[in-house]
Amino acid sequence: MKKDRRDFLHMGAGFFAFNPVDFLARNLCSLSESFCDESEGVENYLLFHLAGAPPRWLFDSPLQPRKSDKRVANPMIVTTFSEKEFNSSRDVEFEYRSTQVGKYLMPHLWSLPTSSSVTYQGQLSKLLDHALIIRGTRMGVDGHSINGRRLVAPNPNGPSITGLLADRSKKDLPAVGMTGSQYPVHVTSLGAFRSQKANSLILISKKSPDYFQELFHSFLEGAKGSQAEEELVEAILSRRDILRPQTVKARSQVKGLLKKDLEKLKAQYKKRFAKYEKIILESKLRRDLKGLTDKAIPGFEKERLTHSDQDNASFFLLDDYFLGDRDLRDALLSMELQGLAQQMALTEFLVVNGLSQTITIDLANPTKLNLDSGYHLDDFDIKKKSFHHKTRQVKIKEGKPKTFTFDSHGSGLIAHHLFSGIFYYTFANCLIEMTETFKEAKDKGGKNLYQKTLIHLASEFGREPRPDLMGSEHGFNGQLNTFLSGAIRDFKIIGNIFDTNKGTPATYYDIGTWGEGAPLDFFKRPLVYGNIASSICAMLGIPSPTPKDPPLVKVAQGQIETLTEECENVIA
Amino acid sequence: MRRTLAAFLTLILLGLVGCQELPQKTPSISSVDAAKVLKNRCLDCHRDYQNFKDEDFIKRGLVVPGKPQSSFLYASLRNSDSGAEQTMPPKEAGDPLSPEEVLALKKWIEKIKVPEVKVVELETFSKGGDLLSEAEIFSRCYGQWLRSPLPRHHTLLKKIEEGKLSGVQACKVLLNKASLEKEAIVNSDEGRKLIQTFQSLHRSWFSELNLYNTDEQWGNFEIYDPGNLAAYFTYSLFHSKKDLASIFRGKTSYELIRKSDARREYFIFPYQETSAKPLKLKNFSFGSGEEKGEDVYPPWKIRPIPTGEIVGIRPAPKKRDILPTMVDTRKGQKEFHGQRVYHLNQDIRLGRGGGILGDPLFLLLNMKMEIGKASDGGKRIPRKWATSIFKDFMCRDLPVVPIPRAKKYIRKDSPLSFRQKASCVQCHMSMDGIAGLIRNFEVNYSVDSGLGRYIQTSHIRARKSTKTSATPILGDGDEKYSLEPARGLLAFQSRSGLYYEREVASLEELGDFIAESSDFYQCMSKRYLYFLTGINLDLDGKDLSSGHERVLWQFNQKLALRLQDHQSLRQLIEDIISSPLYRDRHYLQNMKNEKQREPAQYDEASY
Amino acid sequence: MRALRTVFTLMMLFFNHVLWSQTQVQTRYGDRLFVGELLLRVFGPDCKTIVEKEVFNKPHIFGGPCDPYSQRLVKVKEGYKTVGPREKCSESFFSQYRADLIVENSPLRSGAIAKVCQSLSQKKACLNHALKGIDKEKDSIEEIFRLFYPIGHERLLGEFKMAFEDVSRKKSIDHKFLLKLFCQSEEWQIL
Repeated sequence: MKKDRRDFLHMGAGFFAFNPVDFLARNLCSLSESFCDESEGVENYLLFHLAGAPPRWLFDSPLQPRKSDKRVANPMIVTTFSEKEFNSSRDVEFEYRSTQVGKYLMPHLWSLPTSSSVTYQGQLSKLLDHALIIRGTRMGVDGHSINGRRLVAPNPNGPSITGLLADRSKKDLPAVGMTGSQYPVHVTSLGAFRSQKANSLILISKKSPDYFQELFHSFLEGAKGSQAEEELVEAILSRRDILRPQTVKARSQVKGLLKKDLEKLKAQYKKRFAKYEKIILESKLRRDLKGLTDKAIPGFEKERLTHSDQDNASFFLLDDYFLGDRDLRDALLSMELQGLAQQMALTEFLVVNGLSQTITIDLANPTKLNLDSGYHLDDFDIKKKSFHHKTRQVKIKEGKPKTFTFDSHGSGLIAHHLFSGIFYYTFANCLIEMTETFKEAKDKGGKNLYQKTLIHLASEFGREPRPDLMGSEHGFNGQLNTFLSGAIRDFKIIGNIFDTNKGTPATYYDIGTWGEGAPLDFFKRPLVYGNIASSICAMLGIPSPTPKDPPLVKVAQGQIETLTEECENVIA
Repeated sequence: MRRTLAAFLTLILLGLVGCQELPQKTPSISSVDAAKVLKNRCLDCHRDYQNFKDEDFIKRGLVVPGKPQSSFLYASLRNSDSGAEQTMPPKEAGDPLSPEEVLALKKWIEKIKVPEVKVVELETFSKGGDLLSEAEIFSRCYGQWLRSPLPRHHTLLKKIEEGKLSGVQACKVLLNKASLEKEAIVNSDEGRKLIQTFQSLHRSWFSELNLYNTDEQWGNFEIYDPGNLAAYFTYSLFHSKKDLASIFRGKTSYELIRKSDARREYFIFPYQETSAKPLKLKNFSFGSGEEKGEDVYPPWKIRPIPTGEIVGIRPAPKKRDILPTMVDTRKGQKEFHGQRVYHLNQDIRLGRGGGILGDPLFLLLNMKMEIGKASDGGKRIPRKWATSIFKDFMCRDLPVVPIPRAKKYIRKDSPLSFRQKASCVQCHMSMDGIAGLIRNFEVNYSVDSGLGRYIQTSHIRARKSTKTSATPILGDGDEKYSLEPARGLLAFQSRSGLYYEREVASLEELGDFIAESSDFYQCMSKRYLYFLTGINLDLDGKDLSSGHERVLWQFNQKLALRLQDHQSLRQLIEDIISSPLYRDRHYLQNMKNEKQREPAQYDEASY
Repeated sequence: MRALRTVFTLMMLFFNHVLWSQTQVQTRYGDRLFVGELLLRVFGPDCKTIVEKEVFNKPHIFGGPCDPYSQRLVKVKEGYKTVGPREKCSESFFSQYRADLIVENSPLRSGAIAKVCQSLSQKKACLNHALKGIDKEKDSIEEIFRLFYPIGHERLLGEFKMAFEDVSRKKSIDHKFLLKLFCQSEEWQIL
């Protein structure tokens, strides 16, 4: 039937060269507010971009959601240290263990207790109370930059999702972005911001010492004169015919912001910042996290350099260096998650005070790890076949391994598991604190802020473990998206993955279950990022920049519901 | 569906029957012969033509003055040599027009002069409005074009105050200060500011300026300046002998001439913000591959882009930037060892035809294909290049054909999902079709820089093609596709309704097509209108717009018709600033479409 | 819901056709270069640091893309500095490289102008430069107005004069206040 109406319009509309119903339906919202699905959709969109694409097998990538799902093991895809004591580096072993969260099995990390500074005391799995994980999106091309930008701008010729939200927003600082990763802005999702109405992204640099100051300094110190003077200025400028109408409106908003006790807001921000700083500090120093930091992890001993048995030697690699000779947990003592406390604090502040509609946060990987003892790969005389020399040469000063990066091409299992494990633990704690805070904030209609906010955890792609276990490569056909929102009824996982990859394009063949996207019955093909983008837009009640890729969810009576079948591990 | 079709056909039949009973006038157009043809062969169905004068045909987009090939009325005639879809008169209505009749119409259109840019209604909008004085007009164009406030003692201002010049005339004199005809470098400060501002404007039209497409292409920023694409337009603006259409012809690219007090030492773009030290240019040997134990490739004496203030534009010198070698990397990531090396000695500034369409920079920015991967005509096609052409040069977003046209390209048995459904084919036939013209190109790396990975340069390489074509234009994916001779499908309906669906064999052919399309000129005039007045015209909303917008649309159409005729961006600017729109201080401010922000509701946050 | 929308669309198509066009009129504001240079002209070259920080380095508020190819890095004692003509970029090239040409008014722009005007009129050197040659004894409304509006705008001047008569009858008008007021009046930013 719909098709008939469209054809009729084609015949009648003369010079239209496109489908007018689509065009109108897409643009109705921007023409008149009454056509927006605003009451149905979620309002705020927070994107946490894990730039560099760390492997998420130990975090939110569910490779075996049910016991009956087929999972082909890979020595690099593990979720916990094994339970036995490690007396020497040779003893270090890993396992793949899961824990029950709702209907599904999730990696072991979710069974850990929340940090003691977090308001909610219990298990980390609390975060997944209202969550939707979509597995197996095929990005189709490799590249941090291309895929990072696609996360918000899936159609390079159109506006970005963040731009569309800013255009529709009535808030004062509609779109805010915070840098964090080592990538320059223009290759990240921050640089992909594009609006149709000359809105721009307010960018806060990770180098800024005080995010609140950076954002509001225009309105703070120096903006105000004496009371009498300000009043006189206002009295004159608000007279008819002196300023143009929209300027009057803009000034009244400035006045509104200035009227708000900025000192009080500043104090409020500082409280939040202190709260997150505490959570982060505590999380990274915990020595009782089962399977992660609850026992000493001996580093690669010097004596092993001369032996020929190198069973688990690859575990200790970090970019051409073997992490040596001490309890590797000590590396965490000096670890810094640059800017994370400010990012979480400012995000919470902006959402709770209704100042922003969309916030994009570029997360920094752990830095300042204490990694000063190591042995260079070249020192080895490796005869065993499974241990290959890498083909690339990285020139690093003797003895000091590079900082751990999310883009873990050269991270052996210990570096990856320990350092990103602690990062995920810390990050999850911060998210629980934030979401619980949102739940407390109720509006007049009885809805809480968490129900009006959509949190999206994404990276550019997944990762494929190398067969030589010396790191992982870009798994661009297995991208993962995790959504957290009070509007999601409970915990759901959708999206299919292959049990092992036997088809191209992929970097490796038959390396087990790592998350490569498999076809869905719903579409008769695997997911592409356009589907994810359309799903995000469906949840937010805005038109999708990729309307030809249908969404996987719909919003009904304020609740987000999935449209596709249950998740499945497809036999390749 | 059937019911609606039946109703429609009934209407047509009634129309056909009804037509013959009423008396018909001869249209009062400028050619008697053409009027006769219209009366005898067209009025039976197109009854409204009898009341039309020349300008009525122009207003409705049926005729482009001086250009029969671009005119809907002429191009849709069976027997005309237009290359567009020819359906008139319909087969049911009788024989096609005779060659003499076609010629009569052709001559009529050729002789029509472009209209004056006056739109009567625009005058009435400004009546009683707050008008700018001559000095204020000059102050306005000065501020807009130089982005600098007009000095109080400017010589031209004095002349205006003495009554010797009007504001518009002073603006014209100002524009002359950046002339590139005699010399590539502009010497006056005002002239340079003019070039810089319009360069900025032209650059904003390109949807893609980021040379970093996939991993390890940071070196590209040091040897390519994306602004050089905008230079095609800026050069045409300030060089009176460079027609606008020349942008789509030839193989010459353009470069900005920059001046600085000293040569730059470091890289322009940092590839990592955490680098404590910026990279020094002199340590960077592009394409020399001198690593210990590796093969040594011929060094590349590339001149990195100089930085500094823009002071001029010139055609890029030939044979100055020769790339000796490229590597055939089959894998996405760089693995040079054991890979085939191509010794090409390629001039990286030389275009591939079709002017800006084949500009190596435009190709590099828009191909968006993985390094070393060739097109296969199915999944892997440089689609972004095609969509950028429509968007950047014609202000058109896909789809550019109506959905019924897609039906003939649907193949339900295709393994590719986007060949199976009409709504997918609707876009893909235009995108994939045009992209067939650059099927032979791929992007490859030059050789390792010697400064470590991540910093390579990538370039366009053309593969040698065979003589024969066997794969279909809209195929399912075939390795042979990229080795076949370049050919593409142009599937495009202009805003005026002219439909084209034909094979094109070269970038030059595509360039000629764009240079003759009304969409291109309307796009240019719309953008200049925005820059000069802040009016953002919706070119698609012509039929659904209110009175004000329809008038603006007509104004833009006249600007575009004139632009197509005189081919001068400078004249376009003069047309706009001479209009009442430019003189009105609050030009159409009362239009309802100005969006205003409403203050947000603040709740005290206590948590 | 979608079906209902379509029907409604068809109805609206035939009746109220004002809504559907996307033609918009933006007030044609000058960009950061124009605004910055006018402020420099009024307040003098001593104020370059303030204007650079508050105006030139804010393309997302004032508009006006930068050109990263216009600048270069030089080594200085403390590290590295960017040197270049007025089109140079401050941090984060790409967001500025693709900044819009014209950015309309918004609370951020209003606030930014208010702030820079306040900062400039509070700095003594800048204030003195601006008020150089202006008779301190008289009200000088027109002279100070002309600093920002050298040509035309007679009607606006008239409105301001009326406003002063109404609002501040008794006091004589402080020149610094006038400077701040006209600086914030914003019409001079519109081209």
